[in-house]
Amino acid sequence: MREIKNERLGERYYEIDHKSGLKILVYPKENYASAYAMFGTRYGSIDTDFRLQGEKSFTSVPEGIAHFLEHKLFESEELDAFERYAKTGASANAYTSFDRTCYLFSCTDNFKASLEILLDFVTHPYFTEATVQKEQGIIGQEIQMCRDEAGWESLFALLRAMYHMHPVRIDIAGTVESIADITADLLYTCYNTFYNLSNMVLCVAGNVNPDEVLEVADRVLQKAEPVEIERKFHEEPREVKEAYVEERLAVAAPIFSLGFKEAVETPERTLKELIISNVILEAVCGKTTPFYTELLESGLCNTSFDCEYFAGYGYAAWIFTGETPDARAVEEKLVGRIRELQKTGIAEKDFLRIRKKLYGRTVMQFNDIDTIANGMVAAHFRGESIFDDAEILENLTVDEVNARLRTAIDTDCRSLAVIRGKE
Amino acid sequence: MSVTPQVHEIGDGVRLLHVHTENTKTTCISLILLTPLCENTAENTVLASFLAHSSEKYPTLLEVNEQLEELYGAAFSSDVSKLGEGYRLRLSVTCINDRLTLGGEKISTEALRLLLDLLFAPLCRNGAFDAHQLQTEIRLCAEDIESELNDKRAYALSQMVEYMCKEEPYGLPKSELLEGVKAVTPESLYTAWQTLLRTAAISVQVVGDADFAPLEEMLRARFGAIERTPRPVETVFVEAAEDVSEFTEDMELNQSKLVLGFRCGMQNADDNFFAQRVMADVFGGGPYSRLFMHVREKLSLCYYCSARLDRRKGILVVQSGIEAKNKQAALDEILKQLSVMQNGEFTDEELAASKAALCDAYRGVNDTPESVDAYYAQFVDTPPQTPEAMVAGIEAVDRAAVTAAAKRMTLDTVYFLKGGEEHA
Repeated sequence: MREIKNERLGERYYEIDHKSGLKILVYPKENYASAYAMFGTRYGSIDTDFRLQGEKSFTSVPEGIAHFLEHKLFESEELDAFERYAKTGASANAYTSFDRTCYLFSCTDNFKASLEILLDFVTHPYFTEATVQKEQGIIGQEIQMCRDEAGWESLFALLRAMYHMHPVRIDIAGTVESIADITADLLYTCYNTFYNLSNMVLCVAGNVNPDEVLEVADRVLQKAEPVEIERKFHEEPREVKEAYVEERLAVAAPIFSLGFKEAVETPERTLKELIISNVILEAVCGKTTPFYTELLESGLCNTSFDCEYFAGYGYAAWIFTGETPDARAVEEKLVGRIRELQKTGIAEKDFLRIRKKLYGRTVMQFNDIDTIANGMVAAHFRGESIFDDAEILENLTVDEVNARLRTAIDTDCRSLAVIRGKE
Repeated sequence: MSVTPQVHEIGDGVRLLHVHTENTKTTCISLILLTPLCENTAENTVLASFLAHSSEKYPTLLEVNEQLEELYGAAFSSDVSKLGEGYRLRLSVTCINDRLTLGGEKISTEALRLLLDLLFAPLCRNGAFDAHQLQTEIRLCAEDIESELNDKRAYALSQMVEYMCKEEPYGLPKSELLEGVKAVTPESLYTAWQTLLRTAAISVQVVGDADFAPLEEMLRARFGAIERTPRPVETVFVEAAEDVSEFTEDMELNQSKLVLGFRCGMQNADDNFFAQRVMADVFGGGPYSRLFMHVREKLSLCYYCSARLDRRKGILVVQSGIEAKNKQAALDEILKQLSVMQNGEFTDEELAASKAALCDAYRGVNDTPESVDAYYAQFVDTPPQTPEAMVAGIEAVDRAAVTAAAKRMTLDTVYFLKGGEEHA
């Protein structure tokens, strides 16, 4: 067991290599009534083609299967997980993203009993054709619900426009058609690949200590032989697929998503690159830029305007979203703004203010055990620690930021997606 | 952590609620003002936006935001929302604990100074708010109201409420609010701001691990200086529906939304509250609830189907997203589950699960300043009940009380936002 400390924040957590092969991170918080546990696997919607070390060919599975598996794992031959949690009072949930699936609960009481449920149901799959079929109706409605959400649709329209091959372009839940091809056997194939303990992590934060966690882990977890998973690295062309796409939905005003596709030579961005990217976005159109105020006052955008550095295994993009009466005009303004900043560079005083803000925001996250547990899972899958952010920020220089600003954003390599109202 | 709020009276009808949370990373400060919903509604809506974006000292949004970034990215928010038939305007700031600043700065006092400047010294002159700024704020508010349509679940809910409470202030129509917002003038905004400061019920909340004395002093100076004649907010409680009204609206959608409005038989916000709270949760709260287990899990009709009690209005709302062709099946099942509740046919396990989950959530409230602040914001004009008091109240509810609460439910309105079959 290793203790990892951050003196300035006065925070610490413990890292344990459990004998079962699972990495366990425990972050005790004094004075907290709640505990929050998250059991995550590095497996998400983009993992549609994979093989284990030693296998000859890649296995291809239907779109949306990671999310489908997440739903089905809650079931067992006897009581399903929700029925078991109902006895402990814990509030439980799960989610699937592009590159991970996480099962979680929070509670103020009966922590060990709830942790036992979590570790037990995630390590004991039970899939049958009948239960798979039942879920198709529920997930079908989840998919339809998302297809009416303009912000969500706009993002996926953009991803489909930017990417030719990479599975980030497919909806996390798949489509009504793709999930119809899911079978119990396919679920077991995915489960046996990605739910190996060596591909997973357990993060617990709040009113807990490492001994309690270990006691339950020792009892429930069986040792697993580690596996080596190979994800297909999709040959993604440098150019975007389409520069402009448009869809129609019942919306009040047009909604746009503008994305600049970054060239990626390695599958993943480092934490430092992610942090620098956030500094750059603040400098481009943060709330303290005259550019943002002008967007708002000119009537081109409103307070729904937002931006995001969007990156994962094999993809990275700079994405800007919002409501606008004229998406082309916003596009032109943003392209102009980025090019100008690439020429002049970010000023030292602006950099210092942004860095201070991001430092403050990083500190604020350490109140919230839900954010801490999520942050630990994300950091672990990147091979980093949740305390690294504050340190990287403190030592960051404006030259490093300007260097990335000039090389990572190619303003010619972009797509614009617009959702317009129904005619 | 057991934390009892300290309550001080710092002006006529101005309450200061202080909760000290040991060693937390942030300090949260909120200024909450509650006025009758039907009075200056449009102006108060615009005020929430106007006050947040400028002040005499920081006349532009850019300057306000620069100031916030100087305070280590202090997070500022402002909004209006209904609290029964009151309209609650809330200005909040969250900043990091003074001890965690890189240079030892005391940012909690600076954050409060900014917050007070925004509320007390807005961008105005000679009895009128700045006309240029107002134009922008009116547009932002109008777009915000119109954009509710983009969130179909929220849209369907507010449509149902509009129909159900059309005779009550609570049913405030969106179209009327929108029209009102567009008609706000620099003078009417100024008058509404004055009225708000003089007559609103005001609650100030300070939560965190900051030095409280200087904050209290600043607050007393500002709020003590206004002459006030606070007026109470009253809410119409309709105890029972006379008959069921049905409304269907067509829209090109992939998923249809079914929203049901019930009257809970409450006479005020405290009337039978704990039993109502548990009844709503067994009926349609967590994944152990009747609606989740039956409408979703057994019949596979939906992804979500849940019930929510609005204590301050005495209504219960059931929301679900379904295929258009399943409307009757979903409606029948929801009503069937209500009758299960009314007949006391829910299990002891379901009741225990619900009580355990509700209590668990209350027990976690005191963990962070953010959740403490959010929790107490519901008690602007009523004595604050601690989370521990909530737990005690929930624990005392038994099967008979839940059954009795369910029997008091009457269905008032069925609203259906109908998507086309061809899009399904």
